[in-house]
Amino acid sequence: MFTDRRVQPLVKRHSVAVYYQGPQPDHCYQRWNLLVNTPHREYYRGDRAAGVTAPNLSKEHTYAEHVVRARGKRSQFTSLSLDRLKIHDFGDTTYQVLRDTLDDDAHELVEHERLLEELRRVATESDKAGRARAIQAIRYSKRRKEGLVNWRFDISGIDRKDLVTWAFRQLKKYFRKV
Amino acid sequence: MEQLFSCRNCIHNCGQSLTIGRGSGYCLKHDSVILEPGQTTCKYLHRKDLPRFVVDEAIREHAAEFANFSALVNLRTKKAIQRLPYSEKFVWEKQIFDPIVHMLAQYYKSQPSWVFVQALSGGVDGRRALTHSALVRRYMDRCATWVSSYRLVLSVVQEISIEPCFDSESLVVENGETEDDAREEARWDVVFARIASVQEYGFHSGVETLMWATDQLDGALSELDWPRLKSELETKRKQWTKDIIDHAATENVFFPPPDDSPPGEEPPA
Repeated sequence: MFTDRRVQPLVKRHSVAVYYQGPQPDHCYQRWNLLVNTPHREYYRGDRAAGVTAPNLSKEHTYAEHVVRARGKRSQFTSLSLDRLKIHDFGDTTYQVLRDTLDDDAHELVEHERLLEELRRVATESDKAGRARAIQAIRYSKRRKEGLVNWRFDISGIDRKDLVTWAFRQLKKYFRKV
Repeated sequence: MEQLFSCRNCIHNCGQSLTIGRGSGYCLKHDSVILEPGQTTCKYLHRKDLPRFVVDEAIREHAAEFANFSALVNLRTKKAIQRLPYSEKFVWEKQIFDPIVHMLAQYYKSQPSWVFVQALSGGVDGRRALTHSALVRRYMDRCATWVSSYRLVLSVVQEISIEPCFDSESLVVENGETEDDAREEARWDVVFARIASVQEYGFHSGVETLMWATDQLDGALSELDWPRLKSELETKRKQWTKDIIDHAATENVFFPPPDDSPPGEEPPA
């Protein structure tokens, strides 16, 4: 039924798209159960009035590296929060992510609980440096009630020097000012 | 998480963290008062929250971003901030005296520096504990050797399981948080700063068990379970003390004759 095992919508419930994450038998049921039973919740982000700060789509950071900013200020992810007061790194204009639009374009919203679950796994199973970062990342993401958007843009035709500007324009349709 | 790259999270501003120390800070690197520590940075940032060797890439990127500034800079606007020397008269006139900032402003008047750092150990005040661990890391970083630092790190390790206490005036309470939330966060700021001191010592000395000290805490740290972590730290305190002393003795630097002053003392400022 599902030929592309990386990103396949299985079901939509209360506008939450659930994706099959590939062959992970030990975690699959647990993750499925978590996502299906996650009520529809809104995520927010404070940013500049001009728009949401673009991710750096050319980077490949882990969740933990992104949360603690271990490899720089920008990664391929965009941080969001369940609490509209918690994330205001780049400005004080509050944006709400449009979950349906994200789902329609197959971008992945990493729910807060799933982010914590993944960080806890890394804190026990990763290499030494990865574990050290993940432990602090658990603390920060708990405090910020943080979730992430993992963007699935096709950037193959975009010049590297234009990537940030291009991403900034693309992100506009996924957020609204509140 | 921009504040992770601000003076609040830098070891050169020893007396503050993301949730500890209101008002102005004091930078030992630039010998300057920092009026808005959460909005200020510079290219010499050395993060408090994690050992340097696990966030090295971010620190290098940050240094490159602010390389064109000689001193303090506004983190958002990237405008240079003029250095502001500490004035005891000024703080009394404006009634903004802060004992930790005042103490740090005297750092370069005391020689040798390690005496100043050692004198800060002891006590349960969380802000003082944060300051102590940041000063030890700074001393180690400046000397770039473990030889002059093992005694200083031993004193951090002796306090590693002590619960830090905070008065309300020390806490930075964010929007939507209670004072209890801030107190909890402040405790973790101190715990992580102390453990990072041990890890950076492990890096300088090449003692792997200390470098990856977080791996020995049996999950209590990742669960943020303070009672369990405190118990783990009490056990590890003895082990880490032994590791530091044994290593120093093996390298023939554990209180060598004829005097007991740490070799490699940093030059006077």
